[in-house]
Amino acid sequence: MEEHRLTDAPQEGYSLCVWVRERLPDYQEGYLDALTAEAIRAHLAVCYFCAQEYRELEDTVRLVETLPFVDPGRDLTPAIMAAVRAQSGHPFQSPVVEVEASPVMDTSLPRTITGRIERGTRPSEQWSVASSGGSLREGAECLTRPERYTLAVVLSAATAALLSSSFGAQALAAAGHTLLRALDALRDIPAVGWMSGYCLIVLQHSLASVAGFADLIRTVPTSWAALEVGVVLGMVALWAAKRPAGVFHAH
Amino acid sequence: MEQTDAFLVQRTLDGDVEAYGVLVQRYERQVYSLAYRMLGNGDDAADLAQDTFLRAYGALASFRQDASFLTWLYKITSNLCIDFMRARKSRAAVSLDFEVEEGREPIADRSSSPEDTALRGAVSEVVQDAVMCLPAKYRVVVVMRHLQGLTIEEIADQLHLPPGTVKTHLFRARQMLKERLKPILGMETDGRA
Repeated sequence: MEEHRLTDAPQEGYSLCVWVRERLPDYQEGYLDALTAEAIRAHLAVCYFCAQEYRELEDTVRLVETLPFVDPGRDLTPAIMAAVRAQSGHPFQSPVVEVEASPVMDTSLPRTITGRIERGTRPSEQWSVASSGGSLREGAECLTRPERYTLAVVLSAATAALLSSSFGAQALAAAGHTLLRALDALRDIPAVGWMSGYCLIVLQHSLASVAGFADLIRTVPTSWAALEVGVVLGMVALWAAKRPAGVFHAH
Repeated sequence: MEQTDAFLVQRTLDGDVEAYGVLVQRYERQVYSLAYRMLGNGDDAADLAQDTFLRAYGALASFRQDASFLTWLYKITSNLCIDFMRARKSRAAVSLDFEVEEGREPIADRSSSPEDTALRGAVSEVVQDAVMCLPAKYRVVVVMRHLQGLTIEEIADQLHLPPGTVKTHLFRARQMLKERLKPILGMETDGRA
């Protein structure tokens, strides 16, 4: 015969009241398995203090849940509808896009209900700042997902073509070597201190890598370089395009 | 006969802006109320209610008509509230940071005790004040769980937090609320006795 045991039974020497109280929130939410719930119910029936604790928790939740609706004190509909009418010229967004993350244009929000128009204080502006993290992402979020994919592919192909052409690689290599020479000249200036000198060395090494990479590209046949760079950039761009547009989803 | 939400949404999508006005009229109080419970400020709640309806209007095509329109509005409202509080926190001075992280002192009728206020029939005022005294991260989960009626999993999904963290926040929030509301709970217990 199968033996029924509490899967999460109190340990020996461990106060039963503590064990019960730790589980009261889950008991309240109905998250406990039947046996544990039954054990707690039995304890509450005989322990005045735990029963009192549970009753207070229940009363607290009841008080919060029975809070009445707050009346705005005025009819908000006229102001809301005025703003909606101002926006009504805008087409409805495609359902496949995370449209809620795109900021509402200022033209559609001439003024808030309370008349405040200070930048950065309105929820719509805070929304766009908080969820998008900058103008670049805001711009990207104005595009639909297919548009973002297309843009990513086009940008990758264009960059790959430019880099793989001998002109692009030569230009990159030349720029890298010029900067390296400029840094060498800077290091000879006595006013450049020890720390600055150290930073310059780090920068020099970075530039040397870029210039070396450009030199390498020049030695590889154009078609292979285009393919490799294009694949890498395309993967990065597609990864960026697949990222969610914001933290806000309506569904 | 009252027109259904789905019917009004479809009318709006067909270009009838006035149909959306009926939806706004129908739900403005609920949306304002939720925003007020989260933000604790009437002006912010009114602005946020407007933003909610605007955003919902712009995204109406993405509303699944088999779902509840009010639930959808609540979701938009709570997300906007969360962003609003985050933005407010990022702009806040030290004192407000403290309020966001640690909660604030009660403001409702400082001249009298919670018992006195409750005796005057303003129990909801005391409870609202206790909710507003919670740190923002606890207040959000309390409002979402007990006023919106979302499950722990739904809250976790919406806030991008592990369910365990949401449960911990909820547990601590209830404990803090219980301590703050103890005088009223005591009165109610005495009253039942």
